[in-house]
Amino acid sequence: MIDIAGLDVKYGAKKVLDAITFAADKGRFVGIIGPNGSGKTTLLKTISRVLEPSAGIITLDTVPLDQMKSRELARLLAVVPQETGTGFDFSVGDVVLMGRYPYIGRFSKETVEDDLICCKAMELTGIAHLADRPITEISGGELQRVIIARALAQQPRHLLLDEATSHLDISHQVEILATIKKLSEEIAVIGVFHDLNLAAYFCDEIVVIKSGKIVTAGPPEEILTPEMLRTIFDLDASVSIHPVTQKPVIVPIPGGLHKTGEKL
Amino acid sequence: MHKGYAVITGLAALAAAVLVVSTGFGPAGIPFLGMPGGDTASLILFDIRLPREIAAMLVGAGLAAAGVVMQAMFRNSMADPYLLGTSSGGALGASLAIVLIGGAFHSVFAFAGCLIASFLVYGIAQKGGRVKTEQLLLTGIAISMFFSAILSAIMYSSGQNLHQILFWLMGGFWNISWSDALLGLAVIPVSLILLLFSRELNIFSMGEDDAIHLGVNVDRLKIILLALSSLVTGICVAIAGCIGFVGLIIPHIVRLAVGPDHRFLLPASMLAGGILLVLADTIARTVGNEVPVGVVTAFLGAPFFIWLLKRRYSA
Repeated sequence: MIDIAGLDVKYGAKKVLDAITFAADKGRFVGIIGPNGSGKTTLLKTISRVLEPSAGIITLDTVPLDQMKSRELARLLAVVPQETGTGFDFSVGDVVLMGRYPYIGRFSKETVEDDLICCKAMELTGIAHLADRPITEISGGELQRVIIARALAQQPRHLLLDEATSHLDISHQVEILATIKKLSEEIAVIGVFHDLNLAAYFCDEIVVIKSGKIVTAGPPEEILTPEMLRTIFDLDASVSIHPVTQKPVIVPIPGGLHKTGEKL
Repeated sequence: MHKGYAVITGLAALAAAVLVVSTGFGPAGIPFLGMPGGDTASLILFDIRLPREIAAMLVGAGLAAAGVVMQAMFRNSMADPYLLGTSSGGALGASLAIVLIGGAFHSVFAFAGCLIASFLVYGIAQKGGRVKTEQLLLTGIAISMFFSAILSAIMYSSGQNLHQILFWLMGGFWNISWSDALLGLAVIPVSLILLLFSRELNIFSMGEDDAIHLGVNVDRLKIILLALSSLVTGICVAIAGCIGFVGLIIPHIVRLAVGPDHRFLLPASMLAGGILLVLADTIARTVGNEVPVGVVTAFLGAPFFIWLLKRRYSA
């Protein structure tokens, strides 16, 4: 359970997050949406302790974030960031094995169990065949799946995704998100989404952020309305319930709904 | 089995061979094996050449270790204790010891100088914990120039110590005694401690945010690594002055052979750095009338550095 209460974050004097309060528990995949620069990535960075809040409290399974040791936090929480550095040519397998770091003592070696956990993570993300390839020579989409596998190897109880599937093609996007959706039955997942249809399909709850504040939150079918899209995203769009998935589907309509209606 | 084991074994054998051969090589023409006997020959071999080669081996190993660690830490393959101004801080510290207290504790002063220089460069170049290549190199040059200016001022105002101070600037193994070689042994325990941080060094190359996500205490680790690499550099500078480019060239070449895993990269680079510096010193003391070894490594290293820069900007 990730519990966030009254969270403020400042860059210098500028407040980029203002009184953010919400919670994510296992069994409920929480999606965060909002326009560019609204503070979504800042929020994830604060939950993963890359940034320090100026006020408020975050707890993981009731333990305050600032009272945890670095390794302890990494055993509880894994993060799939938007971009990852690939300075040196480590193999895919080596990078996934880095996910076991918080479990391995300074004077000990990786065990067979560590290897098994990594193999399973690579199979779940469909990259087992890449294990020996250098990460400097694989595609952006493959790298993203490597980082997701690394996060799974941490065996976290909480998972943060920052547009974790943005570089993937559509079939891998759906496949990976379905895997994560299944995981979310056991672990708490918060994901930042740009693709509103993916958010609508996979998330159980949507949190809308604009200018560092939560505007509204709730189930996708209640939150994703043409009115919200116009006021928050400045977008004219139609929203309908898809007959097969029973989930909201958003179709942008450039020029506006009524104009198109007039032409018809 | 990892190919690193084979490379390390090969390099260790090569290091031993290079040590023996170069000890038997010099202007006095005394071979190591089948020596003619006599006190002079034995003096030249065991009290002049051998400690000198051992010191060169250890200093080369130390500089390579510092280079490996700094490159991983700054996620920047252009990092090296000489280019980042660490060595110039050490030279200034040692020179101050010579001028102020007649050379006592010069190794302590050298270490303190390295430490101050490293933290200054890092403190100035970083922005929110991140270091850009250009910032890092330019800050390193600025700090180097600043320290060199102070050093020049000291040299100008203290004529009788000029030769001694000049030594720190150029780098060399002229007056190496057994006590210098023994000081060099300190490189080994410090490097073993660095080796314990291999996993963290590997993770660091993924970026600082990722390192935090994986459970590395990044802020604490950066201070530990900067202090340890400054300590190694300080030991090297105290023995042989400022020798550039070993820490830059070696990790690059060794990475091609063993890959990026620091558990292999660090020990292999130390062996290769030792071999390079012993060879460079053998050239230095046999070519003409003894040139400073820093000149030899710069002849090799400066073109390499330019090649790296060109490759960086064409990529």
